[in-house]
Amino acid sequence: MPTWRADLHIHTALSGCAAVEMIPPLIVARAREQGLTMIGIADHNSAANTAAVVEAAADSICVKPGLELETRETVHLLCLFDTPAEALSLQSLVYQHLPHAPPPEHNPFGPHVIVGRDGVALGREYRPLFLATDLSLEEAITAVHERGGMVLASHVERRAHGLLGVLGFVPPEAALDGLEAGPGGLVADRIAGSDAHHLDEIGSRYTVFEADGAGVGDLRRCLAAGAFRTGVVV
Amino acid sequence: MTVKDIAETLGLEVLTAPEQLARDITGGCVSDLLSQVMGTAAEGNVWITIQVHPNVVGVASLLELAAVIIAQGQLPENDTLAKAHEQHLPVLTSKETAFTIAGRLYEIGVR
Repeated sequence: MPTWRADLHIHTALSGCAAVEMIPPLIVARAREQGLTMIGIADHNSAANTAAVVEAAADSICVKPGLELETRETVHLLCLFDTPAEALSLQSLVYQHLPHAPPPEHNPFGPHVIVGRDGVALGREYRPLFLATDLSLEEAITAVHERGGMVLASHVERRAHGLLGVLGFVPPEAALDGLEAGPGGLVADRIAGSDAHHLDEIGSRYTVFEADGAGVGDLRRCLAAGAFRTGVVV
Repeated sequence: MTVKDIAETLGLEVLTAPEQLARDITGGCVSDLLSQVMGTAAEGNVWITIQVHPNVVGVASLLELAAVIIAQGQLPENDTLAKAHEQHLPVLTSKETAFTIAGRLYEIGVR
């Protein structure tokens, strides 16, 4: 069965805390250098740069476009799709559920830059992507699946925004496709992703999936079967 | 009442922006949900929280809060402190719970 060496959790310059170097051509180049064959693009509460990464990648690497949704409980969910259009459909919903915030004259949250496939800045996103939506965990998970995506709880052990850190347990009725470990060591049954906010973090934590294809359906089956192993690059 | 006054009265440790301690305090806010703070805190308020990530500084800076008090012995992340230095935001810490800190501030007249 084919395998995919994947880092499903990478931010671009759209995420406030991410470096400005996180632009499509550099992300793709770095990912390929690290031997990755699949990357997930997930900025906080937005998929505005995903199409640009898909275009920059051309066919050189598989890109799963998505976003990292913050639920009302402040839990982060890694939401990934097959196409930017599907990811943008979730983005529309997320944007309706973010608080309004006036565009600040100075922005202490980082650049929030929207870029084209060559990395040139096209504009800025002034919505408060760093705040929680008012979507509950359950509403968010349902919304992702309804739009053809897959959803994992990000960095679950993390005190800030990790499902286990925030709630202390995985709600049994939560229809998550999987859990992402982090920070700290690898954990059995949890995928590993870098949560890269800087280029040199890309691929530092990765998951090797055994799947017939690279579609969301394939990956969801793979996750359900536990057909993956994880690794860390020291 | 200034940030310096409450730091001394409550025995809070000042981690950043000591030059901003003369700021007057206009009130207080206790919350760990950033969106709630964005919607309710006012300029010059002191914000008590156990959140330690850098977005705390972003919110405090945007709202022009007088100071952030990190409760219950939590330690701000390094990135949080770096950002607080940059934004000239006083970050103070206490081993007491948010409940106790808020109670004591209320007692000494922070409304």
